[in-house]
Amino acid sequence: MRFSCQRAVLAEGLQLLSHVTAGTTTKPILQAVKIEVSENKAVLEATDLEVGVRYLLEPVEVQEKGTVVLQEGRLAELLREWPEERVCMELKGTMCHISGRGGAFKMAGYDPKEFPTIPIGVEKGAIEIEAGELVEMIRKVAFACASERVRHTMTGVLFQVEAGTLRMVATDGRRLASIREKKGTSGRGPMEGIVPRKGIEQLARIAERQEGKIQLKLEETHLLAASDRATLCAQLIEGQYPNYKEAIPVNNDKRVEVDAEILAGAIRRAAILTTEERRLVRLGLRKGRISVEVETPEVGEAKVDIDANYEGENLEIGFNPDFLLDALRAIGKGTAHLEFKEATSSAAIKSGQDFIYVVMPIRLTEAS
Amino acid sequence: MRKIIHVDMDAFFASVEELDNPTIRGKAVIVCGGLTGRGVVSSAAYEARKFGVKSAMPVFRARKLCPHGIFLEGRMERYMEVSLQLMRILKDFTPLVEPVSVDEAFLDVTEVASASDGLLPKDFAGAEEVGRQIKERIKGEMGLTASVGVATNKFLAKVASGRRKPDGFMVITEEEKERVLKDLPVSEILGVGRVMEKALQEMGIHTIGQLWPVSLAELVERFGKFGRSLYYLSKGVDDTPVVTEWEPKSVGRSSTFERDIKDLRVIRRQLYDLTEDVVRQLKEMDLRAKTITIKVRYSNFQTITRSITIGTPADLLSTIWHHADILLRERVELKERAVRLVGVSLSNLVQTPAVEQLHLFEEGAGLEEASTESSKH
Repeated sequence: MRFSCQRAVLAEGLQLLSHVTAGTTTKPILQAVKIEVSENKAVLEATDLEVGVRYLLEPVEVQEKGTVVLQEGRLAELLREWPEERVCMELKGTMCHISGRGGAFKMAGYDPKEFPTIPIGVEKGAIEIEAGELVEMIRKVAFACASERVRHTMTGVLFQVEAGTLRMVATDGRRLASIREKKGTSGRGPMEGIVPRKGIEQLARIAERQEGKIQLKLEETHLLAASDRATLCAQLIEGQYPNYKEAIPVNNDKRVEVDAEILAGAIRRAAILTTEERRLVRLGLRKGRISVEVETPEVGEAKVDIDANYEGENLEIGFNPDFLLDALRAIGKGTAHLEFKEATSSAAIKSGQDFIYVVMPIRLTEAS
Repeated sequence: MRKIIHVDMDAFFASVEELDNPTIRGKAVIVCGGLTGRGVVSSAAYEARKFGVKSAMPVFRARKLCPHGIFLEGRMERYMEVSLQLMRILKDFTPLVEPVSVDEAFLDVTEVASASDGLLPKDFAGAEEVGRQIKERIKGEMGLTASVGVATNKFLAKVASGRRKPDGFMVITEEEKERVLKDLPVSEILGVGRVMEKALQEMGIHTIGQLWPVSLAELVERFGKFGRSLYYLSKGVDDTPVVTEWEPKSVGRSSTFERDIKDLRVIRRQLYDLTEDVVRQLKEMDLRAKTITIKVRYSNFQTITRSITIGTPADLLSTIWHHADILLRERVELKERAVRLVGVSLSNLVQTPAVEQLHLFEEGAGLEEASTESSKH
């Protein structure tokens, strides 16, 4: 095997794959990257057996076909320190030679036969989605996943394709974010799967590097995704996802329209006077305004009033400010539609037709 | 030097019954866990004790010893109520109150006693005064008598309160302690049960004073860690603090059937009633439980426990009963086996949070399960 390419090209590929290789493992080969050089191209591969990524290196100049498996971390570090624009790699026996002005290096490789096989690409039955929109969708829901293993399925993001439209849902049992692709792609589906956090993050990285569309397919046990240069295979989480449709309130008749950024600012300021043990803000709905109030014994009190389009009955409802801020951050600029029913039932925060966020309140007692 | 007070109500349950019902005052009142069959005595008035009636004695034996006794079924709720009143009074003297049970508590009055009259630290006058006031207030406000012991540590205070029951009052000073302890039976030492007592008797040790010549090394060799306690307690040395932050590790109740039961409906009914009781207790303490354990003792005394740990701590009867019921019906072999006793306990207790985040989905299946099996004869 012998090829050369721009240092930056290889470094970029390794950067992407560095998030795939296993952090700690009993199998060192899972911390390695495979470089497979064929007649006119070179492909990088890495996997931790849960997520696998193939990445096409281009442009490259191939002198000789062959495969080498090298420890990813060391190779990436060497490339960062490499003083030349180009880098040339050559396999001699089991050692990979990298030489030039930066010095002469021989790195011991692993046996390529021991490298796990990663399913290749997406074939039939995939949906296509604009990479930019995919990144946006992930950004708007993935934060709502459970970080602890409350229920294992809640640590991932539910992907659901119905009538060719992709929906993503994430929840940690206290709040839930759901987003639907703006326009349906092609009428394919239904298919469904729960993608673990690592798979989601990797999918976002691949989509960020893609200009056009991403192909997605949910197999029974895997999510497959493909961009022009990368393919991803991510194991799905087995199990029953909570019935999220039932968690979305439909009879919330107390509706408020408010500027998302202004509300976020008010909550952020008020929340300064909360504590770790008492992370609580009260929203007070009155005609034409919302108040954000905090009362923390031994810390202080805050009351922020903001204008809002509201005509309904008065309501006082408590929330963890972080859960509200997460939703408002996802909405960004624009109008947030808040829908409430009562102090102990879920509230919905919507933006446009596609994004729905549901959050459970904190029970207000005399003590709070 | 510390000043510790031990307050112990006299024949507590029986006295509460007499208080509530003047017609039985001064009579041989005997409060029982259950009146028929296999109930046991939970508290006997001093009038009944004259005839040899004691706590934990089977009711039928008590009836033989004291046929004219007034046998009553216990009213735990009422006793808890009176107990709260007692603890409130004690907390008026110092916040350093350690409740030992419903009718018993330790108080650390070191600071209160010396602050009140600026006496020399070795002087007990201040603590003695506090002890007498406690007795008076209990009598005046509750209409009940308590025995009070004052000493330099918990062990000696408890010995003191027990020496002159009922309505007793005793101070044990550092100078007097050896004289008081010398001839007391070793069973007065907390932790010395029947087995330990027998082991000590085999060494020729019957009284606390007889323990004195035995070396620490020998006691540790024979009794392990407890040997150390024996060595120091026998000499009246006890540095365990009065612990106010008393957090229960579990709450539980069990009950023995009148006769062995095979009918699942009856067993379930009983378990439900017990669950209701412990959940009430749990809520009163502002606690929630993560682990629910049920216990079943078969007629042959084989005892099994089954437990489940749930994701979110619960204090709702419906949730807790749901799990207890599943444990009973699905994890206990009941077919054709007669049951003598059922019980339920809640453990893994956590404080009810100051702010309660509500949840989107019904909290579902348990995360861990455990069961144990044992035989007791």
